Amino acid sequence: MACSGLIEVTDEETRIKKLNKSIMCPVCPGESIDQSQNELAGYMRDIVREKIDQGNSDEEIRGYFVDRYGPVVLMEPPSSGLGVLAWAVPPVGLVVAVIAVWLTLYLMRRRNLGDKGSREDMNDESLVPELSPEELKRYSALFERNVMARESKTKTGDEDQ
Amino acid sequence: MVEIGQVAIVAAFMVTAYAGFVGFAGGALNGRDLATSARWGFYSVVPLLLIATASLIYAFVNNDFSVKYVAENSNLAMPRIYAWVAFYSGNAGSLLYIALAFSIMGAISTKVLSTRLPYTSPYAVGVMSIVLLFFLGVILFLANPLEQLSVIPEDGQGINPLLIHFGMFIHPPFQMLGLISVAIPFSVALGALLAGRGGRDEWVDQGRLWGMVSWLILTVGLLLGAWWAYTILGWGGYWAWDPVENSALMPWLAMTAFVHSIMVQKRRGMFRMWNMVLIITSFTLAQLGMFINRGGPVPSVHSFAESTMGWIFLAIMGLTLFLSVVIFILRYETLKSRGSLESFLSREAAFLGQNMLFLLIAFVTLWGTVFPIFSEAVDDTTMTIGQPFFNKVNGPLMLLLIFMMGVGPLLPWRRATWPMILRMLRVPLGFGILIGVLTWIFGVREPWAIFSFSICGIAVAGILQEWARGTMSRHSRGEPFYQAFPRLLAANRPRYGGYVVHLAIVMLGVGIVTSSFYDVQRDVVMKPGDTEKLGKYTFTFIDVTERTFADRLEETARFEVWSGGRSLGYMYPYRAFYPEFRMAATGGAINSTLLEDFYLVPSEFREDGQAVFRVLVNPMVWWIWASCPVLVLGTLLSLSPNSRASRRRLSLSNLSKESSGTPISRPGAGTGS
Amino acid sequence: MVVLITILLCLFPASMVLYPLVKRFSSTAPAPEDESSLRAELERRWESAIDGLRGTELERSIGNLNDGDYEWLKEVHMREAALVLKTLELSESEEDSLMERINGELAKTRLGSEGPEAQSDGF
Repeated sequence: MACSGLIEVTDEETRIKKLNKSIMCPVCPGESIDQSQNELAGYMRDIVREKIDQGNSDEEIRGYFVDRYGPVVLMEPPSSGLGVLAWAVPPVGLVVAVIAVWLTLYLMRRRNLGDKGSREDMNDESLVPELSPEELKRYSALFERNVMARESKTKTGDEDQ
Repeated sequence: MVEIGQVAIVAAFMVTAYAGFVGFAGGALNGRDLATSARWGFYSVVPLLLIATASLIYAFVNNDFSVKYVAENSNLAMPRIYAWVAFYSGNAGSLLYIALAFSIMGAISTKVLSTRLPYTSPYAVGVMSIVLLFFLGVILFLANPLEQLSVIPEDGQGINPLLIHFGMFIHPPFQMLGLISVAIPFSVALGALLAGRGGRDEWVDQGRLWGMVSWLILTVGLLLGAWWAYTILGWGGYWAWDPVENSALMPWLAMTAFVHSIMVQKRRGMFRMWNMVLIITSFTLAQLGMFINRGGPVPSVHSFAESTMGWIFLAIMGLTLFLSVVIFILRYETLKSRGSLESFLSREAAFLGQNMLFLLIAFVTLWGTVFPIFSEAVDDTTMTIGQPFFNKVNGPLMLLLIFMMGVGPLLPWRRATWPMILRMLRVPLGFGILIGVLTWIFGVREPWAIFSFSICGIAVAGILQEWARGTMSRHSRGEPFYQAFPRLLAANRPRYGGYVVHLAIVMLGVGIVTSSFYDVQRDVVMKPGDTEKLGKYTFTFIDVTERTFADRLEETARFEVWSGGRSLGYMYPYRAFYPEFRMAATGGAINSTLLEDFYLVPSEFREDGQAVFRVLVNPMVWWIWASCPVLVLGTLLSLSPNSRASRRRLSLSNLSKESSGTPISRPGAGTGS
Repeated sequence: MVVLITILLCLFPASMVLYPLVKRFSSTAPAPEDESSLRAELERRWESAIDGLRGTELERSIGNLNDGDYEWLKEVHMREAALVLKTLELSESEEDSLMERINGELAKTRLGSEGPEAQSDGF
């Protein structure tokens, strides 16, 4: 597959790329310093490299930028303080969604089981709900003749699903 | 000429107001002539807005800087053909474009509705007129593109340089059309509710038709936007979870849910209330999209149509939502389901789950988009929600969606039993696992990547399994292979059209997953004569050519590139600087193959002759763009109508005439109908 | 010149909306079939039953359905189609008897001057 073109990327490169992608360029809205071609972004990328060479951890490097520009410089919200809310809402949403689906299906199923008599035409006074077996047979026969006639007349492309 | 355009807009406004009022009146009073009058009024808006548009474009082409909008969005140096782009590149002009496009689409749909849903259509026209009236009102009173300046400037400010690209001829029109097109199925649905005719699924066929048309336009708009970002913005990516991008994605998600669940209503008369809720949600999200596009509450790379009047869009969105909810509550009694759920394990239930998933993704996207504002308001610190957040949260959800897409069509309607399901899932699941193993063997180690490929494998196998079995079964009944498959397709167009669309989504998914995990990027400093390598590509920087144009300074680098040992010829990445805008635009040079893209973009040309380039290898990007025509084809196949021959008026005598037996005897049979 | 075009631009939509009110198409053209009428509903249900049957046949031929489920589904759709037919028959026979009664009344009032030809006027 694409593996024929897979390039050898060092672990350090991967780490740098990940770090760069997590820090925003302050003057280009919404772009990471990895993505932006702004001068400041390039300068910041150099700082990241320097600090990695100096042995700083990811946290320390990110912290350095936050000190200078504020938490807005991080591409994703921190896992503390208000940032927790940002991360918490999606999984909570998932749980709520699953419960909502299950509950809806349960209620629909229960309503179905409750009204055994008038299953199909609950809202319809117009259609006659009773069908005696002889009627069913008679109409089925008529139906079969009609449908068979149509099916055999038309080959394909005429009918639709 | 400008005055003519202005008069045309005023006339359009008045006749639209008439159409709205009289449409509702005609519906309520059952006045067919009133309804026809309203309809014709709506039709007449189209030529009026065409005249207004023509006058604006005329002003652009003739450099009439007395028109404020022309002065702000073009200049003498702009090539004439870009008048089309300049027309909708600014706020006021884009409003006129939207009004025009909507009036055309509305007129077409009104014509169709008048024959298919004659008693619902007056109300639908009423709703469409109100929507159009809003846009015309904003144009007339807040942002008139034909407004004139008292002091005529010598030259205009010029068009934003980022817009000078082929993609800008089609992406924004498509995108804007997509957003406003949601109003059409919305009008049909709300019109049906207002008319008290929502309860027997009368509107479902038209709702499905216009819903799918709208969905198609939205999808193409999104893909075009991604393609434009990839080829012109020069950062090597195609989707940044930017607020404007998200605002287009959210209505798309809701509409995708809608076009699926409307099928359940068509088939079984279920989900009547849910579909109303969905279409109202879709339209609200579309309006939110228009707000975010214009209001600029959240900073975005995109905000070229920025203005402070976004808030009026927000207000109208709120009003529409409020009114829709009120109407829904008043009429919801009519929306009780006909059919009922027979099992948790059924396609109906799966559709509900899928719908919820789409809405969840839309909600999460919305949450991430507005969180910065929220954090600012609450804590006084703005937090950024960027790509990493969205990828981490939406990625797995979308993967789950693709899984459902693979498995869902295999579930039967009404009820399924576990043995049946397992039997149908055997092959796709097995194939998915096989793909997972194969990717491992080929060296893929990222767990999410392996997982994603497996799921795509399941989806593909499910589709191909049915195609193969269907073809085989027709073949066993006497048809040769080359006939069996096309006829299978033709005989079941909606179903197989849907499969084709799903295949396109798998192509899209594979392209996105591979390019997200396995893109490689390097920044290199080179001077002419230098050669560098990235992967199997070797590239030599030959020289830089500088060209000065009236509005910009362009520096184009020439590279000679080899892949392995094979020469790929020359590539010309460039960078253009627009002094008036203080903006630089880059044009990446891309060599694209089925397997990967080699991407060269200049970051900086230095004084000393050296230049900084960004080089990328993006695997499988071609598949993302290739999915678009497949998707369009699938949607068109799914929408293709029944042949007229098979439509005959339903009546017993017709049936008994067709059959070979004796007609059913009826009491007091007359001459038949 | 501009004034002239302004007038035309206002006259055009005005005439478009007034023309149907003046011409009163509704008095000559027959009322379109109400999409909420019983007949329209029956047509929809009929199509749905036919589509359902066709789909069931397809699923059977692919092998998605076993015998038991296939028969059951077939019956479900047949039942729906049969319901449509029965309702249709009832409503048509209602319609027929109604028509007969009305034609009978008409014939009586016309005192035989037109006679039997009065019968098959459309309704």
